Amino acid sequence: MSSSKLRWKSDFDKQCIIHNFEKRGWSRCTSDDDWNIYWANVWNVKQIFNPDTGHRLGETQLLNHFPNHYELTRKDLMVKNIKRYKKDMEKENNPIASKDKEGNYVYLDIIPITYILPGDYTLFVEEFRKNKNAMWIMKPCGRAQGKGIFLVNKLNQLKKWATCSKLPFQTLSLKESYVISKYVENPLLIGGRKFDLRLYVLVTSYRPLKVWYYNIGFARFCNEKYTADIAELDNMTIHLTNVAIQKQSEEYNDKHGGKWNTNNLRFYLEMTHGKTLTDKCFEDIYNIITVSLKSVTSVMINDKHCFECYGYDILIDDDLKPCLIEVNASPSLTATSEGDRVLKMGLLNDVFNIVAPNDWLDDSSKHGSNTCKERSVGSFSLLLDESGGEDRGKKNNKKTGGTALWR
Amino acid sequence: MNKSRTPIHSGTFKKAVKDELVKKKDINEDLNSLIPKIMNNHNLDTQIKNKVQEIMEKNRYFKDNITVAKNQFKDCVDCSFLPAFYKEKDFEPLESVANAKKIWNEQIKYKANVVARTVRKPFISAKAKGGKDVPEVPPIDLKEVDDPSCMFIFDQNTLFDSVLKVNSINYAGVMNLTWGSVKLQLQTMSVKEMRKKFNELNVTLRQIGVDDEKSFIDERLLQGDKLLSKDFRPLLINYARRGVPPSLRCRVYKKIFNIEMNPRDYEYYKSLNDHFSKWDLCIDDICNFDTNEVINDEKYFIFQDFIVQVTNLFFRDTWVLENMRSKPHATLTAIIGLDKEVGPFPPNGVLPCKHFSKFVCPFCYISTSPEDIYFIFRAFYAKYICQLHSLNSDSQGIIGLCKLFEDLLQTYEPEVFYYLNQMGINPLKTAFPWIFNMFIGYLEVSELFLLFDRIIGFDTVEIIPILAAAIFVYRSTLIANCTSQEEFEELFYDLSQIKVIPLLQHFLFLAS
Repeated sequence: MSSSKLRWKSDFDKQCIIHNFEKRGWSRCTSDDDWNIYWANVWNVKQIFNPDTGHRLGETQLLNHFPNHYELTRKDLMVKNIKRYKKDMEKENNPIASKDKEGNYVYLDIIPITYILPGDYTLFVEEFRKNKNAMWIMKPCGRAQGKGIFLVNKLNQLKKWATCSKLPFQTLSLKESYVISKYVENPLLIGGRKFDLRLYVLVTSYRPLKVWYYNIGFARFCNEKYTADIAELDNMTIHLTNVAIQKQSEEYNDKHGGKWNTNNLRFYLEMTHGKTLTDKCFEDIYNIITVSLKSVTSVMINDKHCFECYGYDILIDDDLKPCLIEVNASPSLTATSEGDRVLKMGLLNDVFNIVAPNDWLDDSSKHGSNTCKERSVGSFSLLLDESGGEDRGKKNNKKTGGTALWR
Repeated sequence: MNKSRTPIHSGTFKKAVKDELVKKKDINEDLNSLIPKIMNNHNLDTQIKNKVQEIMEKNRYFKDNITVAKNQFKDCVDCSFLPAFYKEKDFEPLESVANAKKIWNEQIKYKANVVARTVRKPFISAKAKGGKDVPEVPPIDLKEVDDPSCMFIFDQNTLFDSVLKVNSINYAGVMNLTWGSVKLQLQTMSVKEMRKKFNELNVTLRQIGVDDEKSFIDERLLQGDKLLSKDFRPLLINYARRGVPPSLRCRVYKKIFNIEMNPRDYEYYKSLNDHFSKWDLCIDDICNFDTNEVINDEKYFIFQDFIVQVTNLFFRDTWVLENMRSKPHATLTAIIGLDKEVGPFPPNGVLPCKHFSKFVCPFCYISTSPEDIYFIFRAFYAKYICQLHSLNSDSQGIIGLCKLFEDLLQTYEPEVFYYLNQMGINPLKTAFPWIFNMFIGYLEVSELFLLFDRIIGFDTVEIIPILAAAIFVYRSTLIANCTSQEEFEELFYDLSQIKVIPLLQHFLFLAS
């Protein structure tokens, strides 16, 4: 709990945020520029950093988004940055780009095959023709909560989209760009249901990269049993795990909200798949987070006033191999159950403890969001810290000194 | 009916001996020395040892005079001169408990009829096929039932009341020996006996659940693998005492419970499913209705389908009736017409308590295969869970467990106990749900399994009230500072942060 009185501002009327600020004894402020810490929505952040409308942030101001966070959080830009990073790493023969015997990337294979439409349309068609039975998933780049997503298994379904402005499934504007990814048809099923993981990652600086990993995440389950049956291609409650979609299902239960703690998931996987596979799965997840962040370090504007708490969406297939679905800049802070409320309260509490520790306002040598020197705060542990030249992957005993691998 | 384990094939063994003899040109080798060698090669000696251990276990190692005598006089033609316990099944030596059991059985029978009336179905009925036959009475919406007590046969409160009612007939009541609410003066373990019995939990020995650093876990994994390949059950049971690493639990539990999962077992599971599709038990409805509440728990909701399936099949399995260590109540007999006896109702001899499916929940973590889950749960119930619901004078019956809890609390923290009594608070009332439910729904799943490991390893449920007492003793200062019932209840509202093994170790070996 901070002893100094900070002024806070929030664009969201959420219990987790307001309660966290209030219990610290910080005071609310509504003015445009007199705040110390601002939990803003992305539109307002855009205005702040807009050269015409914005203003320079003061020494004692903290903002919860990086100016160009969309390099990571927009689906098309993320894909572009990861592809670019892969090429760069390979060109300079960095060990991170190493491949295994079958020619697959060991570390850099973090997303399924993805193309940006309409630009990469021809490339996509070439890939599509290689395996005509595969399913692909179309996602609009700029939207959230599962809106506008649909599955495709025939080229003519796309051709219709390309030529007319009204889709059988929903209306959309042609100006919007989409990404199309190879659909993971064999997700890991538990209790017959598909799920994905929501993990929280805090970044307080991009250059040098400093990443905090929240130890408690949750798995979001579909309410209906999974089937890859073509007849059910349109049934989004089977395929999409977004809470907004699942809430529409009859089976939705608000006692648990379809969310399962990752600790329980890990325990279950250890019991049923063994320790080695489970540990490898989680190591791969840490790798996904690290690689995705490293791929944007060069393009991110590293404003010291900024920090960002991302919501990572990760899908695990039935070989226990995880892949990245997307990174959310504004993960939902609405609590869907009691357990969820406790989690999100704790998350924000720890975020504020990291970015605005007790002596932050008083100590004039400390500025910006990246002042915390601890290895772990609350349920956050330091996943990656490139500032001291030393590198610590989580639970990683095998790293031998050199930063060469993780450049 | 599932006959117990695969018999050692004498035919194949003879053949093996013959083959060896044919192979060996040198027939000088004595058959006497050849046979043990062949047995070893085919792992038959371990199988025989395991079988012997199984028989010993089933007969409680013949420690009990009654079991010994029963075996001696097994083939006796005329048993009229023998004492009562030969003729009565589930004989209860203490008169007061026997009376309580009689009353309890009556209650159960009454409630079973109430439930059948509530769901408007006979105990067992054939299921309508293909929906062509319109049922005479439309299925009733169980949410509309007025009186909630019609929806279950017994729950933890009714059992709790029955436990407290059991009186000592020959108790003069002059001296107040114990402060607890259990009136029956059963003898319970002393602290010294406890320490001896649970010696493997000593602080001097490393445990899974306390010392979970990589080197120790690797060591346990190695040892576990070796023991699994050796296949000798008593060693595995001993191994479980210090905790089983999560990745080995499925295999270790299966070996300890003698579950082989050969084609015959899968067939048996399928036959239970067939029974389910053909016959409707009136308790199916209340169980399934109950399960909807059980799966509100965020730890278990994903396994809903498995839980429902396992629960439904469980009540159709006659194996349970034959292999239960103790019967929670007298078996009801299903009758057609006026007097034609059909068989036990339900087929497994046990009627469900409220939220019965809760007991199935944790086992869904143990394997992805429903058959594994089913057989492991069934074995666990037959050995341990049934005792938690049985009114008898056994030290592992529910009365004995309650008495143990109270005696431990009084021994370790007499001031706290006295203080609670002054305030009119009964500590057993708080601890009873924990004991009745085996802490399911209160502890985190990983901690639950640490507890199960020890229950299996020490082959006793006494560790459950010991844990309950340990929790009380651990929070004794906080209890002493309570000034009201509400404050007291708040202290024990949330057990999700409890770490079972350090607590037990501290309680057994460090607390004075």
